[in-house]
Amino acid sequence: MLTVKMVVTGPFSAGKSEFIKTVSEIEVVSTEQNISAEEERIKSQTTVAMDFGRINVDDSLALFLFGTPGQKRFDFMWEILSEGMLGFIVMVDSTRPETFREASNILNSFRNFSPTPYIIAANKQDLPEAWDSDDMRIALRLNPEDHLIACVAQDKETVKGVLLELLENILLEIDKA
Amino acid sequence: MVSYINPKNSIREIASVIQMKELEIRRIVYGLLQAGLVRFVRPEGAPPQLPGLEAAFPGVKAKDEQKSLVNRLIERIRSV
Repeated sequence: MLTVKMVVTGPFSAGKSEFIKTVSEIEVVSTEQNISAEEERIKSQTTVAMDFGRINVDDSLALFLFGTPGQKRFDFMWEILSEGMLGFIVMVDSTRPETFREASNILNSFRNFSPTPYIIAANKQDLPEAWDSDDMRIALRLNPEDHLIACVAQDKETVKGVLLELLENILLEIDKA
Repeated sequence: MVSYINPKNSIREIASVIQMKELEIRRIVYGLLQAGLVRFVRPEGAPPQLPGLEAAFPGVKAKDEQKSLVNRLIERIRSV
């Protein structure tokens, strides 16, 4: 069986685990641990190694989804998880502008790991305090050719939309190669 | 133990030589990683990492075949 891999990355509490849980066909294999740092207690648990989800196409093809840890001290996992990826998604919490700089740094790190297509998913767009996509593009210092798409990680349709947009980008990249 | 941590020795080999459990060695290496004192390197003789999409489709070189795989993924995700 051929397996292809996509990586979901982004800052702490951006919605990466939720994104994978929403679309995975299997129960997500996660490595969540209680959060120890007081300043990061905006949720109870966080991923410390990876999340793993899967979508089977048929008996001969499957898509693996790997979620990276969001906390900086686990960044040694990023390069390991990025090896052989078909593309990657950078999740950004649209309601927490204090994480935009870190999201931008993570995007740059992953671009350096592998020249594969990527997409930025502006998560939590259902919340009233969410930043507008155009403003986020500026704050994240995205290039004009970078794709940013609105998303709600608990909403299967928007999650599918992100994956489909990334796959369309991958098709274009194959044509260009 | 620290002197044994280099690209030539596996965790298992280190554990065997200094007679500690593998898990204990992993915990120590993890601590060293967090402290920035060691880093991951590819093992000697390991095949180099392929660039970009070449690595994503191991053994699938033809563009049409790669596109066919991506199109199958697209169809599947649409139906999720």
